Amino acid sequence: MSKIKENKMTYIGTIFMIVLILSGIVKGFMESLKRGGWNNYRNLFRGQEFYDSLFLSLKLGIITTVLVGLLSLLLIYFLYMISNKYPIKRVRILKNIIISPILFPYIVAAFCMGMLLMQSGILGRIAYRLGIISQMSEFPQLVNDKYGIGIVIGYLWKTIPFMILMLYPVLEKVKDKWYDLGNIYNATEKQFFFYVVFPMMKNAIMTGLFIVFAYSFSAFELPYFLGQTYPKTLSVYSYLRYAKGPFEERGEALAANFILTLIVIMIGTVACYFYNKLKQREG
Amino acid sequence: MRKLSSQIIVVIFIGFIIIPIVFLAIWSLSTRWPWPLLYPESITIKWWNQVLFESKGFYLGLKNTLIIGISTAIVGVGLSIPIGKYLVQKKSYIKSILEGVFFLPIILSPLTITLGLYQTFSKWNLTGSMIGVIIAHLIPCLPYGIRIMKISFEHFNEKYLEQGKMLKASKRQRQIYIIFPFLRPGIIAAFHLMLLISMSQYILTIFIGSGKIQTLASQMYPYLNGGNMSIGGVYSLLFALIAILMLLIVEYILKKYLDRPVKSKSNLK
Repeated sequence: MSKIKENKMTYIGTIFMIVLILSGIVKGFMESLKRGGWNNYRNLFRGQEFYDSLFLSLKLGIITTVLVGLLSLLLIYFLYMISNKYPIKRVRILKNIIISPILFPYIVAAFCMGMLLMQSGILGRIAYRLGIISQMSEFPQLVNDKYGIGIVIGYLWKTIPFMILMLYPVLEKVKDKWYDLGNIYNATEKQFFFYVVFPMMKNAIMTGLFIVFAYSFSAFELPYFLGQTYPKTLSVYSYLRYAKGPFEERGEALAANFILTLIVIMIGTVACYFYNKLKQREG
Repeated sequence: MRKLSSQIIVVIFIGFIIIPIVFLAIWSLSTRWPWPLLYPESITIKWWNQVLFESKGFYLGLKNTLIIGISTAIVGVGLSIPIGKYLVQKKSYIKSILEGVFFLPIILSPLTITLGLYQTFSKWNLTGSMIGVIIAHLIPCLPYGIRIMKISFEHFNEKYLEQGKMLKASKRQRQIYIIFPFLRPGIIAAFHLMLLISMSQYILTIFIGSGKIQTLASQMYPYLNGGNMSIGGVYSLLFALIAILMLLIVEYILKKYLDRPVKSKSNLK
């Protein structure tokens, strides 16, 4: 009896989720064809703006992911170094401070970055005080700029803590279980990190970075606040067209949105494929 | 020397993370803060007063946020335990596809699903209602819950259950005294994460709530987007504070509830 009940819950939950997710994606696709049909896609592919937006989204996603990967690895390495010297409780406090940006929504991250990096922002004021610049306009444009520097820094502020949240438990567990073994074999701290801790973190790192990439590629809050007017990222382009544009253009907005979804799913499938292959090879 | 350098680097990272929060706090206390001053001209609690005592908007948003967040997390935990268990039990082709589908909302930003979902929900008359928003919030939340519960079940050793059986524990007793205490850290983590994700949803709430359902995240948006930024700062800090508070409360309640001592019912004494 309870077996059936348990299965029922599983089925209900599974079907519920699938219906919800697919209704979001499929319905979006159908609506994109409703007014104007395939012309929506044709128009989209004909205009230059779509390609510029797509390129910008990809660029920001890739730069963010590479930087997050490098910096979070650096940080977890030094956290590991510190954890060898200090009691675990103190390291945990440090970790909790580091992951605190998780408590704020993305819009707050966007606001904070604006406050910090704008020409009239805190960094500009510090530069003025130090005599590096003598006028507000001399401070380099870091927000709403050509290169998306503000957006990338905003993503770093939000996603490095996310990576640490994923990696720190692995660090503690590995140290707990294997540290003595490392001592027996006379491994230095560095060796222990690179030959024991890092390989065990690989899975978490890959998953985390993939989530970071997909999210920074398709999210809209940070580029909406901190991006420039042209080119916009694909997500902002689609959102603005849908929410603020004329009613007839909604089809095109949904078309852009569907392409965004499709790209993420495609990248996800490819990543999954290579991930499984890697796993198989390792046995 | 090496010890010192690793400390310095960690301190730099912590500075990078904390400085925005500190300035958020200063901003929420300032009236005028012209360039190039490093600190505001005067400090005031006016904005905090205004948000906390002079209007009801904040409390309405807080109420909605908590109702939506807690309901989402409860339903989410309820659904992710059986699904997580199912995903661990046996390997099959369907299951790997299912896992892919459950992974989708994690990598897709809410925006991509929202636009289509809005069309579906308006057909079902779910837009503008609390239930609609809760259901919509389950989409970004549930995948995390499922992943956490799956990891929990992966570490579960069936032998404990056999031992329970050997000691003549009924099915219910085994669930309450063996499975639930084992899953406790997973349940707490899943609840936390789902609550937090639901609380910080912005675009889903705006669309599916059709502007009628105000949550803290949707309330702070106009302030941060060029409105009164000091009030935006107050909202952001209150948001984080409430999030921390909720996490502590949830942890306390779940620990108390899931850690009931085993009452001996056997008559073999």
